[in-house]
Amino acid sequence: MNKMISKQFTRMLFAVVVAMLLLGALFAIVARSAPPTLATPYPPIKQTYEASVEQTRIAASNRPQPPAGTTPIPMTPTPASIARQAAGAGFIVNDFTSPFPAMSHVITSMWYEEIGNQRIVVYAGALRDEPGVTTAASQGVVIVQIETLDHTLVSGGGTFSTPSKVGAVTIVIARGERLTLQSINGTTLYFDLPTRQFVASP
Amino acid sequence: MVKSVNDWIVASNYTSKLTVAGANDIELSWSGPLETRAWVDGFFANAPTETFALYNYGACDGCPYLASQNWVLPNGWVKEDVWYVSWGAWTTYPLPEIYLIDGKNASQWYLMSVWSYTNHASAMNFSGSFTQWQACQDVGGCTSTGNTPTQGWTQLYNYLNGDTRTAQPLNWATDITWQQ
Repeated sequence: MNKMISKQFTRMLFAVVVAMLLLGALFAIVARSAPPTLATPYPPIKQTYEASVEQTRIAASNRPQPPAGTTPIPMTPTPASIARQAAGAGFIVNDFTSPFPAMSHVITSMWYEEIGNQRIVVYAGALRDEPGVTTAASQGVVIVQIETLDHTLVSGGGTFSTPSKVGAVTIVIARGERLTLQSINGTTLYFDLPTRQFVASP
Repeated sequence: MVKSVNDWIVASNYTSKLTVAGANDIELSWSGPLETRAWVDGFFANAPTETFALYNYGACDGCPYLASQNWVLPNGWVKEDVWYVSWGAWTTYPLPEIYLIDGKNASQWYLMSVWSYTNHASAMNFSGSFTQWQACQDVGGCTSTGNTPTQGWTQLYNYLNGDTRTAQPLNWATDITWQQ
């Protein structure tokens, strides 16, 4: 009799353990698959905005078509112009987008000239590849790129480091194809584009 | 421009279908904090009766990351400025560039969110991750900056959700291209 009760008890215990294991596994799966919630809520102004956007989203989902009789008002695009100033054989561009990752380069200025069906573009700035080094003590660089007029890169360019670590350099003026650069710590440098070298005079 | 587009939406009776938002690639190396804060303030001041989102889709270049926490932010920026133009001002949202395959971008923004939590009692809630994978494909590939959208999103998601202070769903991933 006692042996039978003991056997039943063992079976029950086994069933309880298995059930607990299954439940535990289920909770673990649910916990893993549930998307995280915000640790901190949106500030009040953003809560209002989020609610408004959500309202628009729901309304647009419910009625995807615009209201009957809606006619969009024609828009007239304004042509963009490039802010640039003549400098030597080319131009210094004041408002440009660097093609180099900001994590690795600080690009301060850009100069370009067009010869035939090619464009020579010179970017000036510094490398940012040394953790802890500030812009003022980083390796200055001049980067030359040759491209077609539709911006396809061709060979002939390169990256040229300033003779010493004078920080980021900026193209300030040009004489012909010789560029005058000012470093962030006040050093003046001259870069001769045809020979791709830093030289002593403008 | 954003206000003009919104005015057009209102005038065209599309307000229940469309919302408009602005975005700025705020890069610490390219501009100072005073000008950038003024730009952000001006963005919202230009349309005081309307509410737009403003996404900062820049990198936090020069910000500390987990493996190197002693970086000095460039151009006079401090973390308060980065927080302000990405999260603190009105309806600004961070939609940061997470292009570095080594995860540094994600680590930097995670630490910014921790900083926000610690100093402003509110973690930064990110609108998504922003990669440049397609743009890299357009120019023949990138060596270290070519995270796919999935990689960028995963890096940021894992950092943010590895810490209960910054946990969040991170609902979106987006990418950029040179194609028009």
